[in-house]
Amino acid sequence: MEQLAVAILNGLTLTMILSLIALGLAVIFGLRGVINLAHGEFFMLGAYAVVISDQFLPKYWAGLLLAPLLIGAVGWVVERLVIRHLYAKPLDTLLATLGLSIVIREGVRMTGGAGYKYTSVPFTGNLHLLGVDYPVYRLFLIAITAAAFLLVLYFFLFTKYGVQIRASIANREIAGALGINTSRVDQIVFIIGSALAGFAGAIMSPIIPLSPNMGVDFFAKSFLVVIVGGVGSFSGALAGAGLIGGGESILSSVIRPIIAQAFILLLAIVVIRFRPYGLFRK
Amino acid sequence: MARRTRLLLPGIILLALVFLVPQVTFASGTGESQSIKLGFVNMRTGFGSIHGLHAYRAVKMAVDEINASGGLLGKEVILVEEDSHTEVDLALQKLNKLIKQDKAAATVVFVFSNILEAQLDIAKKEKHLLLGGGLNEGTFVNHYLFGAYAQPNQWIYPIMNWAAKDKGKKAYLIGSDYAWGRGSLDAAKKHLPDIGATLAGEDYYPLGTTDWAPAVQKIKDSGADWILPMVAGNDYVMFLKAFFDFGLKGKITVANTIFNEEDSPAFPPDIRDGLMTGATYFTSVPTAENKAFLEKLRAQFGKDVFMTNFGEAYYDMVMMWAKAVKTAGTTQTEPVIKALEAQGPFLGPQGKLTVDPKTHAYYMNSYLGKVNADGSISVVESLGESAPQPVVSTDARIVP
Repeated sequence: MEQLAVAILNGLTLTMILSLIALGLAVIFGLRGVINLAHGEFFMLGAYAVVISDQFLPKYWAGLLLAPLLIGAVGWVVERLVIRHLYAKPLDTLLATLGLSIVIREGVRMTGGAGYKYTSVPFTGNLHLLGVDYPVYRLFLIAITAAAFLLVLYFFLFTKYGVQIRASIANREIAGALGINTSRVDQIVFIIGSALAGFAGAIMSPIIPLSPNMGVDFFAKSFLVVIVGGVGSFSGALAGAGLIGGGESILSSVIRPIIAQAFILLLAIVVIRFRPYGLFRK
Repeated sequence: MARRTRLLLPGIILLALVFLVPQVTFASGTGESQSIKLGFVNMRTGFGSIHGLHAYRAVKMAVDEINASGGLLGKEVILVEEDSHTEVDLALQKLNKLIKQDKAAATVVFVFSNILEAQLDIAKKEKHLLLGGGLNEGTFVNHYLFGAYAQPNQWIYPIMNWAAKDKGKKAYLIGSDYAWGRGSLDAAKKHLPDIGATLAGEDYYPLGTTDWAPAVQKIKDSGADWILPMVAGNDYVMFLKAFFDFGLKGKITVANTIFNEEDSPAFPPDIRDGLMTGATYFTSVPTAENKAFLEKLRAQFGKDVFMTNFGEAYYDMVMMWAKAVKTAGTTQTEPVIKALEAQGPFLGPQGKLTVDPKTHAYYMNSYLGKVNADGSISVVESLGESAPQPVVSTDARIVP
């Protein structure tokens, strides 16, 4: 029973983080068919933003607030300078964002060094929950990512821009004909997507090693989440993350980790075979 | 169309430059007979990039030192460094390039077991001498490989002995699921009965694992007194972060073997303070040779730089190779191999290193270190020199 509680909490941690990263990836892909291969690097930059702000500002919290703003701005610049010119050629965006990811990664390596960094940890210690001791920070992580997820959900469902974005995803031409500034929608979506990756990086920064390569593994996982969950869908991002991240985490605690990973990948293949557009796309 | 033609001319010029420049440099170079090239397939980018810089510094220092004392056989030694991006394919391409294009006399190769294994195939085919260093799981024994690689008895057993003596008898082994992780822990398992310890659990995780919470939970539930992690690269730090995150510091001891000054910046001071680790070299090793070595290193690369056990081993290996070339009077592979096999002890920063001609492994030194809050590592015990005991049977070895 205790083991199950821990496994579920572990699964929830990874699920929430992956769903945040995947959500950013999924909305950008859903809107303009752009797969942002530099999304993992935005995640990394988010963590590095905390490292830098730790040196000048009150520990951690300033960084956590600053990271999504900064990385959102980076996303905006990237959209204006690079992606905007390539919307007509989705395959070229793959190449451009792959190039960008290498430039960002190696740029960070050249300026900040290849070595590890750390950020301050806002809380240490364990909390007694469901009959087990669980690190306070991880519980906080689950709560705050859930809050962020709900906030984005609220934005998309109940605000003017949210409606415009959903209209543009559903049918761009008609949305444009109805007077929606679709170019501005593109920018907003890119900013939100990037900011989410940056926020995920910042929130993960106290518990993972920070190095220029840190985005790569998370990107690969969140990409799988998007494919399994379906693009442009909230429930898809959440369900995909639950299956890929949560499933793997929970399975790893009962069977051999390598088998757990293989099993989850197999499951992903089966899902894609029967639901080629993901779990939640009609 | 106009745009295409406009691009055509610059394009042709660019292509011409790309193809011509290397030829020109070769033509105007100093010529083959004036220099000896030493290849180096390093990891400057990718998964293993964290180790690349210190390795480069060490090899560069050795080459500069050789040249400062008159070079080899009256010739200057030129270091040709290539970056493998820590990928097997690229590492093989670069090794081939160094052998065929640069005609390197020997090549320094990096430690990752999967890469080394593949590079050995090329070395055998091309009859090319590989120089390595650091540590390995004891399965690399080859005619064309000389490595100041600590064998499991030199880099794993010392910390195990300490843990079993001071921390308890129940050990948990956790590793990366590939040759090095499994091989190292296989060697460790054989040593458990010798120190009266028992296995509380054993687990392997794929490279690139991002979620270590389940692993930590299993360790917590196992009742282990100490753990021996053989988790590679970035994953290792990721694992340790999760381990400390779950509040296990002070409850279950970590017997580190690959924790060095490269890893300590990943942890806040209160977490890294007091961690124990074993290795063949730390920056703080108290030998006269190390003092001189660090002085030179810091004069060349900055006053705060440290050195890793990998880097130190490369330095030793390149110096020993240079000595062997002088003895052999040639850079040809076979005579140099014979000279290396017959070479006596060499005094390196870690202490005395002596080759075992049967396995090409080295008698090396072991140290126990304690990590300080500032990230540096102090030597708490010098265990001295020990004979290498590779895991493979020595009969199966060294078939040219």
